[in-house]
Amino acid sequence: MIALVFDAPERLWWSFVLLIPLGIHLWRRRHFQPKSWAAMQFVLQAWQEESQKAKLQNLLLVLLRVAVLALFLFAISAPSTGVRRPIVGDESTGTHHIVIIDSTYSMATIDQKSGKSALAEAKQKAIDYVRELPNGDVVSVLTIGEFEQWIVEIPGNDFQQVAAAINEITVQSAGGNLQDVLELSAELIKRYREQDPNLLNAHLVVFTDMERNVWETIIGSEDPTVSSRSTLSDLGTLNVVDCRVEPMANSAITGLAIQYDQGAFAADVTVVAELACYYHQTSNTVGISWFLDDEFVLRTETEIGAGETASVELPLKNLDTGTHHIEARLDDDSLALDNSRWLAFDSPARLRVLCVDGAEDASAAVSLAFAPTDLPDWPVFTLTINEVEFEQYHLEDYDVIALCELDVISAFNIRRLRSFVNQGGTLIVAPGQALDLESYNSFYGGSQNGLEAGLQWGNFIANEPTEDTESSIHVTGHDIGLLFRSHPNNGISALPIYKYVEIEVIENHESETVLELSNGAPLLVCSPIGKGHVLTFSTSLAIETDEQRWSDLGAWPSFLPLIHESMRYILEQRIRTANVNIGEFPERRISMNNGPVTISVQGPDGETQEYFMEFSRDPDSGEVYAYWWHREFKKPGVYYVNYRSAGQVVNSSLVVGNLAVTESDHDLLEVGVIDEVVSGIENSLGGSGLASTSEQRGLFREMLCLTLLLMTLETFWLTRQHSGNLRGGRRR
Amino acid sequence: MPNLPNSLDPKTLAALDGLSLRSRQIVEGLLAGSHRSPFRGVSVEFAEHREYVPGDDLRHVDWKVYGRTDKLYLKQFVEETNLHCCMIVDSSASMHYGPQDGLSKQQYAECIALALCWLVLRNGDAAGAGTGTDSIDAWLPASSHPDQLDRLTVLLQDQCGDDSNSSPENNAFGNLLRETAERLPQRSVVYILSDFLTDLSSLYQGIERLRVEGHDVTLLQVLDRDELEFPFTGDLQLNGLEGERVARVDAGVINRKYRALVAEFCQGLEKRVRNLGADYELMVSDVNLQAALLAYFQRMQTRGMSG
Repeated sequence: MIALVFDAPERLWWSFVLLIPLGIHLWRRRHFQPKSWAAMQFVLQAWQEESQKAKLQNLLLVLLRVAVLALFLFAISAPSTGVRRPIVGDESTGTHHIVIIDSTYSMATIDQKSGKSALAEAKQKAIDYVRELPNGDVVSVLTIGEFEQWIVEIPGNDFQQVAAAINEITVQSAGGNLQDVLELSAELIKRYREQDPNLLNAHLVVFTDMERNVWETIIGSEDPTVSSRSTLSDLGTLNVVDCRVEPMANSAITGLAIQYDQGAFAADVTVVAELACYYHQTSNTVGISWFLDDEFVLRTETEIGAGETASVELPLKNLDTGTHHIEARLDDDSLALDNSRWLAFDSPARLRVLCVDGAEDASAAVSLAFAPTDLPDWPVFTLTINEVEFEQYHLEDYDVIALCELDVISAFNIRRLRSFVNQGGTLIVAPGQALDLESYNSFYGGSQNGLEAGLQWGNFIANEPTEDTESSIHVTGHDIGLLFRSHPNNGISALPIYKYVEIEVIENHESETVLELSNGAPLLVCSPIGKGHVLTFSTSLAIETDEQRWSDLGAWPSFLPLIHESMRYILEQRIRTANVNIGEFPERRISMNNGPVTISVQGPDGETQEYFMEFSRDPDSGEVYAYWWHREFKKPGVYYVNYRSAGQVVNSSLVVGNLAVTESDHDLLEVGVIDEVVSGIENSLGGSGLASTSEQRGLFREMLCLTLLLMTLETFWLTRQHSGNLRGGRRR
Repeated sequence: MPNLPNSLDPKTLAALDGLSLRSRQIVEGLLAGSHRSPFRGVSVEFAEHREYVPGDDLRHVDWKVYGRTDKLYLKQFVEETNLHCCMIVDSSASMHYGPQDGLSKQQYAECIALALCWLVLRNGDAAGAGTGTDSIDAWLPASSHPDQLDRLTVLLQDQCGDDSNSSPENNAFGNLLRETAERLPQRSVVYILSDFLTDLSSLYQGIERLRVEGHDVTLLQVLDRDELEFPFTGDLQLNGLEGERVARVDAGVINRKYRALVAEFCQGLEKRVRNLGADYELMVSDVNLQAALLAYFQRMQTRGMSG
């Protein structure tokens, strides 16, 4: 049922002006100009034939003029269909009020005068609004945020209870967008309108600081017919209550990164914090405190101007082997939520490496590069096996697998290795003398069973080995080659290559060449696949001295730093899985090959949540595994994940959650911008005039357009009627 | 067509005092344009020679005489000397319509009639005229007497202003034409100048009578531009010049229909008149008189008619 109502019904009193054209028509005193005329017979005949038509035209003209005035009055009375504006303090208007409170993290900004946050201001205004609603109207309450939720979903008219629920709303550590909330509101409005036929009207009130990111989906599109705006017009009336506050100052840590300056297996790292200062009022000095594994380390200060960014480095030495987390914390300012940031990282890298020989000692150089020392606390564990034994090993127990000079890779191993890489493992592949191109291309190929690495293995290319054989190895711009590029005399460019397999890197894949020969043929290609990486060498890594040797790469002094740099790069990439933004859910796949495992997650507030694990079997490899993901990942901080088997903690890891810094710049929209979407903004709830809506404005525009059209029609009509006279007529 | 002197514009002529002066002005303008006389005899019976004057048809020059005397003489025939031309000018009230600063239809018709008479007399032929509404009020028989032009001038000036008998009921132009036929002593060229806003059936009967008696009839319909185009706006109270009932009309509403009716009337008149063997020419009273006559003469020659 659609009702036509007016936002300014008092203007309809001007309807008496409709009598003006009628009066003019009825009481018009016509002044006939006298004139002597000869050809009367034609005049009388023409008038006899045309007078009835003229009367009809005059009548239509009067009706047209009345219609023009009526439409104009109609338009300025702000009509709307099916929606009635609530009148505070009036009897029930049959309105379903949706109170939407912005609880995104910018609403935690503190006002420098009142000391209250924008959210507190919004809640107070919302409570005032609800308490003044007419009896019989109903209210639902919803928040904007990454985790938008109904505070009061079932429309209720116990306004005290609704006010109490509003009071409990807290700010979220994430952004959000209005579009999702509007769609949620639309569903609710439709649902309850079907249930209760008295709920003719819907009225949405958004209490917000008008942060740009929240409104981006509404105002971002240039096309006014996008679904978001259509949604707005379909819902009912929409008002916005301005809850902006005046902040004093705000700085934020926008990023935290780890640098393995001395390689992946060194105990020294550098933590780099990226700071941004959005505005100051008093001082340009920002204090930053560092905490390593929850222990205070250092406090430093840095100068940073308004609108500028800065980097602060914290070198950490002699770290224990294993996973650490570090927190950088800024001094207090107007917005506290973006002042802390955490980073989880491994240092030194503790890796389990499985080397698989396809020929005798084929992986010796790789094993040596990973574990060049007998030090008891060296973080890398290596195991070398042969090709036959490989199928008996559980790949989930290892971080790196090196396949050296395997002739073929069986279909079973292809499935296992694909799963291993996708889950975050690192695979190193080097060719051998009996390499089966078809098998390798099947492994790397684009089929569903392969790695889909974007690599194609080609012909064997062999040069005659001579004493002065020299190759000019080129280090590309890939990050693995960073160390070599910064040391031009590193020696890798003089590495002799006698034999290699042509590898074609197919475009539109993520594989990138790290090292290439002077003729452009790739020597080392890094392929990110799933959460893991594949490092593919085009030449053998075996340390050989006979005439069949491929290259001296395995024995070359640059090989060890090359492997270590590759691990550094992969480690820096891998920390992403342990560092998650609020709004993303951390997830893991756990092998159950060693028996059932349960996990518990302890959040920053100390609460522990147990997870029931569901077992699944990988259809490719036949392995038993389970997935878990943490649903309550809503607060920034450190989350400890404990794996238990038979009641004992068998393994533990940690995940840190950080705020996605999207609203720290306090980029608040101007009223005029919002006004393009809704026709006005009410700064306070006092008074009776809430803003009209875009839907009303649309109807207003349509009415005005129709009025103009009718006026044009009338002008055209009159012009046409007198067109004969305007052409060269002469008066006597 | 040569450029015409501005003095022949109807507004200019209206400022000239006296019909004689106006018609002289027109004829002098025509002669200055070096056009030959439009009136030619058709008889083959030779009568006498006369001296050539500019405008005469060179086909009638007697070249043998020219070879002997070195002077141009025209051969004249019996009928040619006896050409009779009669101008019938409508003097009904409707003919008085016209602009304040120009010629009324009546004045325009007088000018044309007198100019044609002048040309006829100058050719040595006889010209006469009659005026009236439904009967002949004034009549001057055709003559080639040297004073004939003055008499014609007086007649047209004196008689055409009298419209006391004009009314829609008694405006039977055909009666006037029948009287004309009775008064004409021999075959003549008859020009009827009127707006023809009259009883057409009577008119056609009159024309038929003239044609039966062997007269060469030409209808010159004189209308004002307003009557053709009805260029008015707003509310008008139209008072008929011939006593019709008053009409209160919205000019904007009827102008399209009015124009269509007038056009239909003129076309119907022309068609019927031509079917009766008479000639027809529409003359609009704001058109330069000399240009109107020249155009008429040219069309006349094209149609092979003689005056």
